[in-house]
Formats: sequence, structure tokens, C-alpha cells
Amino acid sequence: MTRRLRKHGTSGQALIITSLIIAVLLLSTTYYVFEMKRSVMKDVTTKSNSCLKAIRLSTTNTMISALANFTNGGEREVFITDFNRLSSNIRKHYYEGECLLRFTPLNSSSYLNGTYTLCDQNGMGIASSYVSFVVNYSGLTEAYCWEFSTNVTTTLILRSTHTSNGTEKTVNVTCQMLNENEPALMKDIAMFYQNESDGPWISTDSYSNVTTNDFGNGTYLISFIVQAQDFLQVSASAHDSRDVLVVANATSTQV
Amino acid sequence: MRLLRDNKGQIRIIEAFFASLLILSTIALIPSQNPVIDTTNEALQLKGQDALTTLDSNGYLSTLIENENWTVLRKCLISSLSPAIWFNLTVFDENMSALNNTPISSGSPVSEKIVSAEYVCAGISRQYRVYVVRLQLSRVT
Repeated sequence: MTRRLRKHGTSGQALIITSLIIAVLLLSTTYYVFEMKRSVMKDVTTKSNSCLKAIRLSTTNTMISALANFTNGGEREVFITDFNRLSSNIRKHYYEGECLLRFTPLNSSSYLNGTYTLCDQNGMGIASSYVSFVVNYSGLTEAYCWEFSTNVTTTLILRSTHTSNGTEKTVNVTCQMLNENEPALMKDIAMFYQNESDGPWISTDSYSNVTTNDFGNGTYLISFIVQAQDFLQVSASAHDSRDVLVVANATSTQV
Repeated sequence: MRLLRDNKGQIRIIEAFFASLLILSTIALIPSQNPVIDTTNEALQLKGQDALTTLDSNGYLSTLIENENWTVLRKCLISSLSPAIWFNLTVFDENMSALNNTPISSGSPVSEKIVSAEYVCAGISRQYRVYVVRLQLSRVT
């Protein structure tokens, strides 16, 4: 009798476990369906993301081109001209809707019409541009408005030390190139020195004893020997790999 | 009276109900999988657009165009796109004059369903140039 009762009492357990498993299966199926729908939605949203990414890339490239032009002797107005060209092309070649790119170059205490250049005597040289953009897109089914800013900055940091042997100085100049505060490679560099206050800048190209060590991380060590008294200033004029020219001056310290 | 007391079959009915729900939900799943397979024209267009955007990082695409390096451009696209996708690329200047004198494609089109992705490529060189890159794509069926 007891055995029969025990047998009857446990017969429902398997069914409960089965129903639990089925419930788990149902829940996982529902979750799977939900995830599928979400991935489809993600595919739809990436289209607008891809479009924005392409426009951002074009604006960055345009800024690099304009900054390279400006720092190599071009007009400041090149930014306005180039962005007008880009905006017109984006408008013309966007068939799925109307896409308008508007730009506002930054005007602040340091930036003038979106550009800023610095060449101080403490070894810092900066060439930068900053422009804000608004993209208005209106298609058949949807409309977007994106706002973003792009900053292109090339920085050159110069540190100079020298050892003295009478009037002969062995100069070691450490140059660090940065693009948007990240280490970047140089395309070329020209070194100059000044051995008397208000004296002429003399190029080191005429010396055969100039050695350049490239550390591969945007840092370069340039060494040369010059004739100078106590006063010694160095100047570097370098192009980064984007062809942006930046100039920095530094007073050499004796070690 | 006997029918009310006899509840042995109820759990079986519930189990059968759950099982049928499971089957129905599985059937409901099948149509929702279709868009994820990426067979749509929009997905193909997006793939082309993404390939061009990736190629244009750091101004590489515009540099290839400026140097008229069509062979390298073709190889880059072959690497970026799936072998199951046919492509044909045409580079235009701002006045829509074709610049590439040799075809940049992966052979002859394999399907009549061809989608086109257009990309405005801005150059990074001092002499500013804008190119319009048209990438035609088709999926091998």
C-alpha cells in the first residue's frame, strides 16, 4: 500500500519537469524571435549611420586638404571654397533624398575662420582647424538632422639640448609629431639654428654631420654640430604625412 | 462524478498544448529570418557603401584615384567584398566625366539585379579635388 502511494505521489514530478523544460524552450524561442527582430532593425539603422560616416569622412578629408593648402602658403578662404564644393557635390549626388551640408568655421579667441596656427619660442608648433557641421537629410520616408564637429590638428613639440666644447656645440633636438594628439609620422623636416640674438636662421642642410634617428613612433632625434657662443636657438619646419606644415622654435639648453 | 475525480489526463492536455505552442512559435520564426540573410538590395548597397568608406579611411581611396592606380583599387575591392558579389566601379570627376580608362570590375555581371552605391570622395592633397565614385553591385545567384 505504501509502495503504491509513493509511486503515485512521484508520477507528476516528471510531468512538471517536462512542462518546465517546455516553458524554458518557449521563453528562449520568444527571446530568439525578439533578437532576430532587433538585428533586422539594426540593419535598417546602419544605413543612416553609414551615410553619416561617409559624410564625416569627406568633411575630415576636406579639412586636411584645406589645412595643408593654408599652412603651405594658401589663402585662409580655401576652407570656405572647399566646403562649398563638397556641400554642392553631396547635394547633387544624393539620390535617395535631399542632403544638405552646412558648415560653420570656429571663430574664438584662438581660431579665426576655423583655423589656428601657433609657433611659440618654447618648442610648440600647432596648425589646426575646427569646423562645425549640420547635415539635414530628408528622404521619402524619413528625415534626419545630424550635428557634429571636426577638428584636425597637427602639433610639433621640440626640445633641444646641447653639450659645449668651447664654441663648438653638439646639439640634440627631439621632435615629436602629433596628429589629433596621437603620435604621427613626419613626411620631411628642415632644421635651422640661430647662434646670435636677432641673427639669421642658418639651415643645417649645409652640414654633413646631421644625423636623424627615427624611433618609429612619431619621435625623431636630430643631432648636429654648430659653432655658437652662449646663445643658441633651433627651429624646425616639418610636414606631417598629410602634408600639413608646422613650425616650432625652441631655445637650446646646455647639459 | 467519476469524471470529475479522474484528472489523470489533464497534464497530458497541458503538455500537448505547450508542445503545439512550441511548434507554432517555431513556424512563426521562419519568415522573420529572411531579412537577416541580407539578400535585399538595400543590404547590398550598404555593403558597397561600407567598402568604399573603409577604403577611404585616411584618404587612401582618393590617393589611389589621384595616382590612377586602378589595379590596386580593383584588388582592394576584391579583398573588401565577398567573392559572391560582382562589382563594377567607375570614377568620375566633379563634371561627371569618367576618369578610369580601364574597367575596375570583377568580370561580367552575373545577375540582372544590379544595385548602385554612389560615394562622394574628397581628396586630401593640397590641390583639392572631389570625385564621385559609382559602385555597381550584383549578387551571384
